[in-house]
Amino acid sequence: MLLDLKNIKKYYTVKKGSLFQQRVMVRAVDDISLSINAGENLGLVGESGSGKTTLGRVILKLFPATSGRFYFQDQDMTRPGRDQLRRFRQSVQMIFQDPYNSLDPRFTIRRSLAEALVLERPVPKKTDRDIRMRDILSAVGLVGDILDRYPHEFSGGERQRIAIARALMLRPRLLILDEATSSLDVLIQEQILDYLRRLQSEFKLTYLFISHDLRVVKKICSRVAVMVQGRLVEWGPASAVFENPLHPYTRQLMTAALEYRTGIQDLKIRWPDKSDLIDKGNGHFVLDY
Amino acid sequence: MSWVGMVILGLLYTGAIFADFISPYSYRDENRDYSYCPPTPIRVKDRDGRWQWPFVYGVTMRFDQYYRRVYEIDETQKYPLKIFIRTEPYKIFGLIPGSRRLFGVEDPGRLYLWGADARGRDLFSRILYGGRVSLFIGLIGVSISFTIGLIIGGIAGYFGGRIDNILMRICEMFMMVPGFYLLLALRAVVPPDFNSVQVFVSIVVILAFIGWAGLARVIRGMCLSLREREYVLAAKAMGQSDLAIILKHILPHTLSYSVVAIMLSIPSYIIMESALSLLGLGIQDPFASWGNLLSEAMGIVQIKFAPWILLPGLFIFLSVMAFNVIGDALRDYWDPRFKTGQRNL
Amino acid sequence: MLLTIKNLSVRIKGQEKAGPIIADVDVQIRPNEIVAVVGASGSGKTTTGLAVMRLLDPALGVTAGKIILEDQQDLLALPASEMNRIRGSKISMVFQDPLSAFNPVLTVGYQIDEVFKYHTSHPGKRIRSMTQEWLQRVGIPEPQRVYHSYPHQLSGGMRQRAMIAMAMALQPRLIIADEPTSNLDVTLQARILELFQELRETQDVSILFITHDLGLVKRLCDRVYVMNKGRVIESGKSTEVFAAPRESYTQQLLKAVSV
Repeated sequence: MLLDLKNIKKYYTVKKGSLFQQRVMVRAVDDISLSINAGENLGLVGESGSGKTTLGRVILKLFPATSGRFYFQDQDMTRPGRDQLRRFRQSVQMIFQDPYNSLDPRFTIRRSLAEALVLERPVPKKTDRDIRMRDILSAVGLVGDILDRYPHEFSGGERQRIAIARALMLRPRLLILDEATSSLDVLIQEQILDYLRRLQSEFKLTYLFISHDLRVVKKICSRVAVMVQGRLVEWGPASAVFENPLHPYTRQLMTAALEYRTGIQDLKIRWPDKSDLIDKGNGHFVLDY
Repeated sequence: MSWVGMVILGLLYTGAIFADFISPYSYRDENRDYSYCPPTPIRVKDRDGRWQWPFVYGVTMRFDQYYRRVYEIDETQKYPLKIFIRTEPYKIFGLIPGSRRLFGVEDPGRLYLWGADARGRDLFSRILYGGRVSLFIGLIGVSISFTIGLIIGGIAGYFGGRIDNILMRICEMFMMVPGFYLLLALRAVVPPDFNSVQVFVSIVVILAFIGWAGLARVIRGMCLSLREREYVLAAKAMGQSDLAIILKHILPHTLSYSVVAIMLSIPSYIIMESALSLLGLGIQDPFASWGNLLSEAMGIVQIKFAPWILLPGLFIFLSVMAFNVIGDALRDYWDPRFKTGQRNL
Repeated sequence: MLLTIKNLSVRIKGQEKAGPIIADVDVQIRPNEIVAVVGASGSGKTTTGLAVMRLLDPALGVTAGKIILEDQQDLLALPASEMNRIRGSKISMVFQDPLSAFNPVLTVGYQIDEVFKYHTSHPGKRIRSMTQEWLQRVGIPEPQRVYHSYPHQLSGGMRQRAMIAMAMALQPRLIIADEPTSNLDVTLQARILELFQELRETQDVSILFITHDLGLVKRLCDRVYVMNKGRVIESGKSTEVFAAPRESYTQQLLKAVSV
């Protein structure tokens, strides 16, 4: 198993109101247990506020989880030491949603890509670096005079590809894509998905695809997990979840995303006491509804 | 407009840096016979109307019935203007020796381009030397306070939480203190036997320590939002240290604001120093600073009979205006134009 | 024919050498019809929509073409004051980002009232009740509360619905919707699409739906125009175009949105 999350929670307090500030506890990620195997693509779907982006950032270890256990490549990474963290960072990378802000606009492409090598030991030589950069850029279909230019000279789709190239510089095992295609036009989305499929076999990658766009998830993911309000309500093989959604929220999501119809108005989700998902066979799990 | 500002500043700073060379006299070259002598214009035509090499008429002084000084032009004495005149040796910045000045007249003639002060010192020369203090105090002060402000603001904004809280409260404490009074108080603490250079340095340091707080707050605000940018998160995910992120990713993006703020706050240093020197607490005689020179113009007698004594005020005005104009131009250049870009077509 | 766009060409003023933004665009909208204009960013679809409202960026200029409303007037030839009267009352627009389309310091109700105040002479009370009626008709559950709310206090879906209410207030004959659902969640998106369909059926209004996502409009629109690089490359009844697209670009678009 590549990644194994057990009972991950991320809570934080927010001050509401302007004058009399009440402290409200936000349960961004509320008891999530999830696992990803090497080579499979997991789609994490949900609407805004579902907590999927927060979960992605917890997995990336941008900030620590409030509680829960975290295993990566069968090692306990809940509280990693410095060397462990360094190797983890080289193994897990993220592509962000906004192509206009994922590369520092003041950095040349070369500098942005070189930043990825900051952790590498031994430190690669300058000549080797350039060669590596060009190789990876051509793997994402960008050839020619790229390195000395600035991000604003490229289109949104090209910038996402540069961001992918930057992530690949580290030779990660797991690539988290946080709404990476959501800001792009449909044709460019197709193009990026194409590259992602090709890169997967070439670089032996596993994808965690976080998105609210189920259409895209359906094209590239082998397994799907559905999140609502910080909780996991359903997960399983893509074919099972898409063709036979069990949880009412999943059904509503599918109808809206794939058929552009609303299903049940004012859906009220019943939250059972136990957040364990029930096995419905075939690896398809559902929260009790 | 900003070109005008840049030209003015260029001239002022050149004058200040090369004061030793450009000014006809040293700042302490006095001649009490010529106290408050009016300006001696450089003439190119003599009284017969013939063109001449530029020269200056001699000036004689006599006392009138009220024992006031009256200066009369003595056309019998002509002192031609000399270029690269040899004078007493001096040292540029106290280091490089030199002995020629750009222009001047031989003794016993006196060249008072803009008049003389109470001790017969040439005001033009004193203003040039005075520029050294007034103009550079701003630059040095700003570099100190901005370095402090950027670092503290950057740390507070990037880390947030408790660190931010503590740093901002300290900031507010500094801002609470009325600047000018703090300046006076700290100045009083400076040992009286400091020579003028040391006084200068201590004034700069004091001003800088008061001035960083305002900038720190704004930088902190900018950093709070900048740290959420995706390229910052990406840098973190790639293992960059916090310090590297602040220095390489966050602070450079505050540059457009910072540079403008610097340009606009240098004038306040100039004015602070002038105010201090005006009160006699800054640069002392015989050293010159524009504020110090203005302090000699505080009496009605002086202003009425020797109005040229107010000229240093014009220079303060010019330099402050020039900085403001350039700062405004920079702000316009950086903000809206870059943000408009292309509309969604 | 409700609206006929004929031979429309727009270019950046003073830049003859750079190509036109849009060239030779023909679009026809019948009453009670939902027409989709689909294309990638930069294809000119938004420019076409803005041109109808004469809300183009001042740096752009119409170099050719006519926009004829109800077979009577050429909108491009109207004086500005006449056009002002048409905007909001005969043709209105719904934008992509409702947060920036609303004034943040005024309540939503006040802003919708403004539409009535500018175009009609109804008394204040009547205007208020009409505004609230529309808020309800677009599916907002507590119209009174929303009426008194500021834009930032509402969720994205409510804001977008409020914007549609504002667009529908004077019962225009045409609504131009420019990527109205891009910033919304999928479930909200579905609801807004259904709202458009409802409006088409119950009110006498046509909708010009501008988007880059062909999938959104497959079910919704009657006719579709596909734009690429400033030109209309394919058009027709949506059932026909989707069943048998002629251009390879259209085929690519369809493949991209297939599920």
